[in-house]
Amino acid sequence: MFTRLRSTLDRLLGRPIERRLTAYQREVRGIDGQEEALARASDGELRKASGRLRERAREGEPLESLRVETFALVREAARRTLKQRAYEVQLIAGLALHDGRIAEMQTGEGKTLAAVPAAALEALLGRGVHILTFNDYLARRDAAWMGPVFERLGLSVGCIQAGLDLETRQKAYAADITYGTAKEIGFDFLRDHLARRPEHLALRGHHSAIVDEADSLLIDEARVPLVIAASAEPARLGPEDAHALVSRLDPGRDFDHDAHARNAYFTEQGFDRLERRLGIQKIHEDEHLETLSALSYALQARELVHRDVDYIVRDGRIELIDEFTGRVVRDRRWPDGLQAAVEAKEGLELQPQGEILGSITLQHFFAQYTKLAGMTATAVPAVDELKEFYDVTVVVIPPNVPSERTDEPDRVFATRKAKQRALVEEIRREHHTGRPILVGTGTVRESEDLAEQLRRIGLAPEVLNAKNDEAEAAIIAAAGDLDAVTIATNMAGRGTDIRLGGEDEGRKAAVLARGGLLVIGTNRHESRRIDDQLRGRAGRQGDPGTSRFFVSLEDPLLELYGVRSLIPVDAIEADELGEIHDPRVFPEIERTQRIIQNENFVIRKQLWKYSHLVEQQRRQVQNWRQRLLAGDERPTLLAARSPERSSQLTRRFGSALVESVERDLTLAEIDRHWKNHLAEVAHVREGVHLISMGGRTPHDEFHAQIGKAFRRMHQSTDDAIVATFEKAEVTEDGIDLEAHGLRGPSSTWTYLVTDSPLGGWKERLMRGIFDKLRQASGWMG
Amino acid sequence: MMESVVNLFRIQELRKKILVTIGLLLVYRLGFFIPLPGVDVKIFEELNQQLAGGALGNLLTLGSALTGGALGQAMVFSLGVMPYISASIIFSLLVKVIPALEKLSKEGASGQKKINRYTRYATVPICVFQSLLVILGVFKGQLQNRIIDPNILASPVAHFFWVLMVIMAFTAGTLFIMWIGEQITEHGVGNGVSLIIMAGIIARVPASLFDFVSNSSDERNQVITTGFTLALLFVVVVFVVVYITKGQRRIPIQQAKLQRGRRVYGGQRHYLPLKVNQAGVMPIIFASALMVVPGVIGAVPFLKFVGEWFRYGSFWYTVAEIAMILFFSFFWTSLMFQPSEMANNLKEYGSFIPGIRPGKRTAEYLEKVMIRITLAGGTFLALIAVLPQFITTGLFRGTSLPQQVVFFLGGTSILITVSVALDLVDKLNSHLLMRNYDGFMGSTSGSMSRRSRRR
Repeated sequence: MFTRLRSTLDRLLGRPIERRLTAYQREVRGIDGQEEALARASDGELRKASGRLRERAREGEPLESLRVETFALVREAARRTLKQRAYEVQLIAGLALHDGRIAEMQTGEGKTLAAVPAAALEALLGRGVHILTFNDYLARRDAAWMGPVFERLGLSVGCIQAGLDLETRQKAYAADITYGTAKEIGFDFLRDHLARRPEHLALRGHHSAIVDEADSLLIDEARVPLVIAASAEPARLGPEDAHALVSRLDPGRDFDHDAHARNAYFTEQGFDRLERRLGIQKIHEDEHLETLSALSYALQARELVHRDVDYIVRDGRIELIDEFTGRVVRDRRWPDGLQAAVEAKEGLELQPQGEILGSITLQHFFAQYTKLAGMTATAVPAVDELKEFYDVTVVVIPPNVPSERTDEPDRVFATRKAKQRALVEEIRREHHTGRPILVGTGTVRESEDLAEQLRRIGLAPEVLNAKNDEAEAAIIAAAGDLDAVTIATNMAGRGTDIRLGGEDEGRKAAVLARGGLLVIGTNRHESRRIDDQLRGRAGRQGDPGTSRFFVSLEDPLLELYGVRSLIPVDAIEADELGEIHDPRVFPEIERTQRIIQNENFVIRKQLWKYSHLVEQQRRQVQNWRQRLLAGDERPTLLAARSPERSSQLTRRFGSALVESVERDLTLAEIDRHWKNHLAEVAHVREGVHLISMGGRTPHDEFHAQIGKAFRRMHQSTDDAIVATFEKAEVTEDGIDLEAHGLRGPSSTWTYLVTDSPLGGWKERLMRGIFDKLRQASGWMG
Repeated sequence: MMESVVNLFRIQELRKKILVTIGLLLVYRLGFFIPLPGVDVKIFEELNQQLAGGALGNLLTLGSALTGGALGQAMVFSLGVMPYISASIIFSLLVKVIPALEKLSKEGASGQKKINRYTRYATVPICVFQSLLVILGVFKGQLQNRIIDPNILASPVAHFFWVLMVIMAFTAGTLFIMWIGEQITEHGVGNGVSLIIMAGIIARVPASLFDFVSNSSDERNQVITTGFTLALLFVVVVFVVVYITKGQRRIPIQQAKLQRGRRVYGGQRHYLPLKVNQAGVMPIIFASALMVVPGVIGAVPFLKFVGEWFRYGSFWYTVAEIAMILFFSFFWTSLMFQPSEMANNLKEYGSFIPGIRPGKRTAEYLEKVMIRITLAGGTFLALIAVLPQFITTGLFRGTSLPQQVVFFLGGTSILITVSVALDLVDKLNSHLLMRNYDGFMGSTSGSMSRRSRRR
C-alpha cells in the first residue's frame, strides 16, 4: 500500500524511480516454473541448453524472449555450484539490470550473484560483458567466486587486475564475461588508442557493462580523468630547491591564504624575500615564469595539502586518499607540478613528470558502452543526476528480509570539543554493553586521534584507514564480534560486509541480543549517500542495528556553508555539555547538506558542458585513427597532396608498402598533434574564466577557442604528414619514424588526476560563472 | 554564413530551442493586444499622441523604448519588464552596499539563487507602485476625456475594485513577462529578459516607420531626403555601436603554473578583457530618469525659469545630460568593477600581469586602465544619448519626425539591440560547435569526407 503510494507520487513528480515490481514478479514466477525440470537435468544437459540459447540469440532472437529460460538456467547452475538458491529479489535485480537500469539493493543482499544472470544473458550475444567492480580485490574475488557458475553453462570468465601483461589482458577481454575495475579497463582503453599495430589492442569494443557501486562511480568519481602520459623534460628550478626556499618563509608575513584555505599566495614581503634569495630583480617577468611556478607549487604543497588527510606516505611514495571512500587510490596523482612539489616536501624521490598523451573522464568512458546498468545501495538520492547524465532509471529492490535498523536523529553540539567529549563518552558507555561499535570518521588523522583518546580511557579500538588497508579483510571480519570497537574512515562504507558474531558468526545470538551493530558517524558528509552507506553497515539482512551521527556546528563542512546563519539564534543554545536540543536545528543541518549536494550537481553539470566538446573531438579523432589502425579505412591524403613522390615510391616498392608507410605516419602524427591539442585545451581552460569580466560567457568563449584549435589541429596534422613524407627516407622496411621524432613513446604510465587540485581551474571557472550570473541578474551588465 | 543559419535548424535540439524562443516571444507580443478592462484604448492612444513631445511624453516614450513596455497603450503588458529590471538594478546595487547580501552573493549557486528569488519578490511591490503611478498620473489626469468607463467611476465600490483590478492586471502582466523571460533562458537560446527587451524595441520599428512615411505632413521630397539621411545615419550608428560594444582592452594575464608540453604551440596568452563600455546602457537610463527633475521643478510657478533652461533639447539640458552620463558611467563602473577585489582574485589564484607585482600594484594598474577606458566609454555613451536631440533640433529642425523613430536611432535602443544580438550570436555559435560534432560521429566515412565537410 505504502509502496503504491510512493510510486504514484514519484510518477506524479516525474522522478525516474520504479518501485512497483509486478511485471518483474511475473517473470520470476516463470523462472520458478522451470526450476523443478531443471533440477532434474544433468550438468551436460544444462550446458547443452545454454548452447541452444546462444544459438538462438545469434540467430537474432531478441534477448527479452530468452530471459526467463536463461535466468532459470543460471539460477540452477548457481544452486549447484554455490549451494545457494537465488532469492526472488536477486532475480528481480538481475532483470532490472538487464533492462539497463540501476538496481538499488541494500548491503548484504547479494549484489554479486544478482549480476550473474544478467551478464550471462547479455553474453549470449558473444560480444563481451564487463562487470565493473569497486576495486581490484573485488574483481578477483567475484571472478573466482562466480566463475564456476558461468563455466557450468559453458561461458568463459576473465579478470583484469593492475599490472597484467598485454597477452593476459587480451585473453581476459576475449572471455564472455570480464571482471575488472572501471579504472583498469579505462586505462586499457587509453593504451589502445596509442597502439601502432592492430595486434597490440587489448579491448574488443564496449558492448555492455554492469557497474557495482554505481552511484560512486557514475557520479562521485565521474569527473575524474584517466590519463596516459609519457616523460617530458625536467624543470629548471627543481621542486627540491623551491621547497627549500619556501620552507624558510613565515606564514602570515611572507604568504597567506584565502578564507576557505583553498588557495595560498605570496605577499609583497614574500616576493621581496624570494627575489633577494634568488638574486632576481623582478620575479614577475616572463623569463622567471618557471621559477615562479615551482615556488607557487611548493607553497601549495606546504600549505594546502596535508599529510594523513589528503595523502599518506608509504614505501617512499605519495599515495592519495580518496575524499569519498577514504581509501588509498593506486595510480592517482595531482596535476604534475603539485605532485612533484609534494614529493619534494616529503623528501621523496621525484617521480617522473609526464606529458599527457590521452585522457578520458570516467563519465565519458561509461558513455562508450552501448548498454549500461548498475547496482548500489544508495541510488535513489542520486536518481535525478543518473537520469540526466546517463539516461538510466532506478529500480528499488526491497530487501529479502526487512531491515531492523533504527536510524536515530543526529546529536548536535555547539563546538567540536563538546562533540569529541560526547563521542568518547558514548563509545565508552555503549562498549560497556558488549555491543560491537563501528565509528566512521572523516579523515585518517581524525581516526587516529579518536583511537588515541579511547586508548587513554582503557579501550582497545581497532583502526581501519588508508594506512593499513591491507588488513581490511581481517579487521572487518572481527568488527561484528562482541566487544569490538572499530574506528574507520569512509572506507568502511562501501564494499564491506560486517557479519555479526565474528567470522564464523559463532556469537551472533549474543550480539543480536545486545541490539546488533552500532554505527556512529562523527560527521555529516558532502552527500547524503555517503552517510547512508555508513549507516548501511548495520542491520544487514534483517539483523537489528542502530545508527547515530554526531555533528558539531564547527564541523568544517557546516562551517564552510555557514549553517549558523541558517539557524535561529535562540535555537543554538547548548546545555552544559555543549549539546543542542532544539529541534529546529536538525532540518537546517539537512538543508545545508542538500545545498552542498545541489551545488555539486550544478558544478558537475557545468563541468560536463566543458568536457563535452573535447570528448566529441576525441571521439572523432580516435574513431578515425582506430579505423586506420584496423585497416578498415585506407589513407588517401598523400595520393592527393603529394602525388609525385607517392607514385615514385609506388613504382619502386609497390602500393602496399606506400600505404603502410602512410598509415604509420598518419598514426604517429595524429598522436603527436592530439597531444598538443590536449595541452592547448588545458591552457585555454586555465584562463577562460577571465572572459566573464568582459561580459561574455566563458563557456561560449571556450567552445569558440577549442573549435578553432581543433580545426587548426586537423590542418597541421595533414601538413605534417605531407611534410614528413616528402623528406623522409623510405626503404623496403618502410619509414624510419624515429629519425623524425615520431616513434611511439618508449614507456607510458597511467594515472588518475585527482579531482580537487585546490583552487584549480574548476573553482575559478565556477566563480566566473557566478560572476556572470550576477551580471545577468543585473540585467545587461 | 547562410550555411550556418541552415545548420541552426538542422540540429534538432537547437531547432527546438529556437522555436521555443520564437514561440514565447510571440506570446509576449500577443499580450500587448489584451486591453485593460474599463479603459477606452482608442481615446487613450489619441491622447498619447498629443502628449508626445512634452516632458512626460518624452519620458514615457523613452521608458517604453528602453524596456519593451508600452506605456503609450493601456494594455495588460504595459509595464513591460521594467519593474523586474528595476528590481535587478536595485539588488545589484544593494549587493555592493549591504554586507549580508554581499556575503550571500559570494556563496555560490545557492546564494545567487536566493538573490534572484528576492529580486522576483521585490518586483511585485515595484509593479504595484508603478501601477498606481500610471493610474493616478495618466488615467486619472485624463478623466475629463472619458478614457475610463463612466459607469465605473459612478460607484465608489466599483471604482475601488477597478483600481485593484488594474493593479493586479499590470502586476500579473509583468510577472508573466518575467516568467516568459525565464522560460526562454531555461529552454530557449540566449538571455530571456534581454531578448524580450530587444523584441519590444524591434516590434515598434515597423509601426513608427509607417507612421513616419504615411502621416508625415512634410512634402514628399523632403520625406525621401530625410528617410535617406536617417538610413545612412542608422548604418553609421550601428557600425559605431557594434565597434564600441565589442571594444575591449585586453590585459595579459599569466598563471604561475607552468605545465609540461605547453610551450609546443606557445604565443597564446590569457587575458583579462576590460570592456570599453563596461556600464552598458545603465548610465543613460539613470541620467534620463534624473533629467525629469528640472521639468518637475519647473512646474512650481516662480521656478519656471528652471524648466525653461532645461527644456528638452536646449543647450543646458544637453550639457547636464552629458555630464550626468559621464558621472554615472564612472559610478556604475566603480560599483561593478573593483580593482582591489579583482587584484585580490588574481593573487589568490596565483595569476598576475606580467611584469607587475600582484596585490596593490596590480590594483593601481587596473584602476588606471579602467579610468582611461571608462572616460572613452562614457563619452561615447553621452554622444549616443544626445544624438536624438541633435537630430530633432539640429539636423531636421522643422520636420515632423516621430519621436519613436528618433529614439530608435538615438543609439540607446541600438545599443541594447546590438549587445543582445551579439550575445545571441555567441550562444548560437557555441551550440553549433557543440552539436556539429554529433553529426560527424555516426559517419563511417574517412578522413577525406571529413575534410570536405569541414569546408
